[in-house]
Amino acid sequence: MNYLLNLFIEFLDKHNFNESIGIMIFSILPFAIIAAALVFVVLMLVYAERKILAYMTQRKGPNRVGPNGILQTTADAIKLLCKENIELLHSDKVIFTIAPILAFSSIVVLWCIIPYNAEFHLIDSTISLLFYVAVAGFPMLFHFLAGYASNNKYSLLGSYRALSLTASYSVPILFTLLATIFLADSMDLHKIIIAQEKVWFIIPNIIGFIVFFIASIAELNRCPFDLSEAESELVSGYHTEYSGMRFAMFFLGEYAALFVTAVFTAIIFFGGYQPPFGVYLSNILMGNCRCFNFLIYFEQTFWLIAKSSIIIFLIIWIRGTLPRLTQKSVMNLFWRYLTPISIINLILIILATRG
Amino acid sequence: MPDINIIREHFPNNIIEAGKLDASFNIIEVLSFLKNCPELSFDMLLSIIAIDYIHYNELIYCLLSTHLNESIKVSVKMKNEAKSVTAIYKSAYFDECEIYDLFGIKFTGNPNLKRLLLPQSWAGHPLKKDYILNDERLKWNE
Amino acid sequence: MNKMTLNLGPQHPATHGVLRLIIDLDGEEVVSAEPDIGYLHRGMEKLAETRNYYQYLPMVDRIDYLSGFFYSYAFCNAVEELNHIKVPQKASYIRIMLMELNRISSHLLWFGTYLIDLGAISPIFYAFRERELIMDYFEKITGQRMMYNYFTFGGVRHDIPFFDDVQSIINTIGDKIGDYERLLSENPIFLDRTVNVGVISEKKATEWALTGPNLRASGVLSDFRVNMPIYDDIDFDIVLTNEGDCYSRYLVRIYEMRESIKIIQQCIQWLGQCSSRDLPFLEKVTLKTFPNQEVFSSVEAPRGLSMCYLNSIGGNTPYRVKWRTSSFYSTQILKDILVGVTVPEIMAIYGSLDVVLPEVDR
Repeated sequence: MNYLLNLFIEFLDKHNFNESIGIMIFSILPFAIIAAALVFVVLMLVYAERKILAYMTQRKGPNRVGPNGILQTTADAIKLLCKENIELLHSDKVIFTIAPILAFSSIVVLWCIIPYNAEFHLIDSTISLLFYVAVAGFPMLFHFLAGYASNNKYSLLGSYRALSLTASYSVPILFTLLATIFLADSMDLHKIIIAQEKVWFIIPNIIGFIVFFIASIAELNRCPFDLSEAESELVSGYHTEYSGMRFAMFFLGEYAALFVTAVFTAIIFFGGYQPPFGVYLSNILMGNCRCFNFLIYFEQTFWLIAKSSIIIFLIIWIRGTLPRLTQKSVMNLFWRYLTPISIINLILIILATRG
Repeated sequence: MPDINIIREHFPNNIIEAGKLDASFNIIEVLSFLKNCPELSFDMLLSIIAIDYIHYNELIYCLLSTHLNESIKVSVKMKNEAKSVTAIYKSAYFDECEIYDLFGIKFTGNPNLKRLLLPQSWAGHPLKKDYILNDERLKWNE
Repeated sequence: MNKMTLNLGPQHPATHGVLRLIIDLDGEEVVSAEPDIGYLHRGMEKLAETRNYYQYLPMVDRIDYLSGFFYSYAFCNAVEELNHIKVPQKASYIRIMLMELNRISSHLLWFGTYLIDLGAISPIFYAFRERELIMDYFEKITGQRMMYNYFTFGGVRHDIPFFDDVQSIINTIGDKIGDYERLLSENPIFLDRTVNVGVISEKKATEWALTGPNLRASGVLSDFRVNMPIYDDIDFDIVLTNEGDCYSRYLVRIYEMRESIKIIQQCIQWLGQCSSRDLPFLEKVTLKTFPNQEVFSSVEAPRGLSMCYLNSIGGNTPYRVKWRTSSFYSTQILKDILVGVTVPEIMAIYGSLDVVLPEVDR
């Protein structure tokens, strides 16, 4: 980004423009790119999930709207925009309105700290991993508030299940990420990726990967942990009373969170934007040609997206296969099995790296 | 067929006509005996059937013995009141509520007799013969 | 103790029809549950009193649309017993084959909907894919996918020209049942949700008059097919388990599908032997007046024992028709076994009892 910024400022100087315009544009431009990418990626993810689940259940999925049904989610979003916002008579109006907005925006914040390639990130911070842990649990709080504010018994049942789930999955995630911090000696996501140059962290931290994967499916409220929005018992759980664009906020927020979780899994365990075996394809293709150096950055983003796509496919696959867990079994699984396993994993890694 | 002689010994006053044991005056004792007697052991009350012969009503209790694979029918003839057998067979509760709902037969001893299939505010008992829907259109199949 | 009254109302994704359960909850635990039925009451019994027997026959399929052949058989058998009509043997074998195919399709539908209640979204599509094979065959034979109107007094309406493709149907279904077992019978999540959930002991099952797979899963050996004379030459086993929980009800139905495949195999063999000879499939009768008699006709439907009581006092309309259906009693037992379970278990228990509302309300 700095290189481009300097180029642009030179260009502006040549034509006698004020250079502060360039700085302004280049401050806003990355956020605009990420916002556009967010909308695009979320729409594509919804389409991908519908298509993958359809093929797993012997159907075809959307295939009418647009070529092969690609525009289906856009059509759905437009339809939801045009729907009536049903106002409840006895709900807590302020919380009822705010909850979906905040549930979506708290996930969008996480898109800003992801290192998309070695140079491009929106917020530079030395504690980005801690930021992820802190913010990733926010949507659950707003799911609870939404269910509480709806003044509907089904929503209430769904929302207090969400609270018990939040308490359960946070602890194993924390201990697994502590293990990563010990392996990488830093909380900065860039440094974590650079520390995986020789060997990806999934090899020393394999137990941590399994624990983190299971706990993050719980964090996303997806099957087999979708007990707070269990369709067959609770008629949509905490978002029963929402209609139109407010429902779309919850829905899209879930898919934005899915992407963020997959990207973080890729960064923390699979080397982030680094290619497998450290071999950059653009180096092979372009040789040592100086002017095409910037292609490496695109390739790094490509590798990041590719790894997270595989993880997203795994998560969707699990949704299509397994039944739902009950609250008792979820608490049993997390507190009796995953938390002790993650603590033991942390101790082993500390001993291995320091002892 | 179950061993009728045991029943005849115990209840000489109850007659067996047309394959059904008539127990209009001592239904509770007959059913308790049929359930508890080890040679007969009719442990399941399959159904209670109500029929409206206009001057009287008849209830038929269909019993099944799962151990011996036998079945027997016990019939009770009465006007509009009957004794409830929910203390002996728990599954009679829904049957009796339905019969009260559709025939108007009241069961004394039933814990909570109320209408089951029709709304609580319905007037009349549809399956009685005098609940005829007086309609010209019903005469077409004669 | 603060109770919250929740209305699992007539409109709910998982109550398989219009059943209303009024549940008092203390947190996630049920304190009391009461079923409220009657939303689908169509007056099947009263309608019989103003129609003659041939006019009532097509309505009988609709008492339980998922197992139409069984109710049709119960009514036809009742009328045949009343008038001492002897049904030709070929018609009996055709009836058995179609009834057992219907049993398989009903169990497949139960399997798909039970699993989607538990949260697994794939098996319902696989189950419906298999059901399509059976329904296509029914359409070839009877012209209808669901309300068949094929059995009649004295036999069946038309001869069956094709029964060779039944062999390929049951081969496919036999393999697929193995697939479903591999997917689910050892799945820890499925086991966690169904083992030791909703245990109905032997005594409780007979007290509340459960029949069919629900009763056999609790360890009571009771299958009405041994009393039906048309099954005399057919060799099949009765599936029993001892535990009485949701998992055993699932196992009983899966194995019952396999037993039905065995029965259909024997029927195909018999029908194949006699295809060269021109055997009658229908005893032509004209029923004018009926004797003054009553008759009880029972059949082992997929959900349990179904009984038809037919009372005629002469004339050509019945005096009283009463249907004893098994889902009526499965709904009654909910009052007893739902006390003390949590909300997810309600769905697991209710789904495993295989309650279909048209049977409950008639």
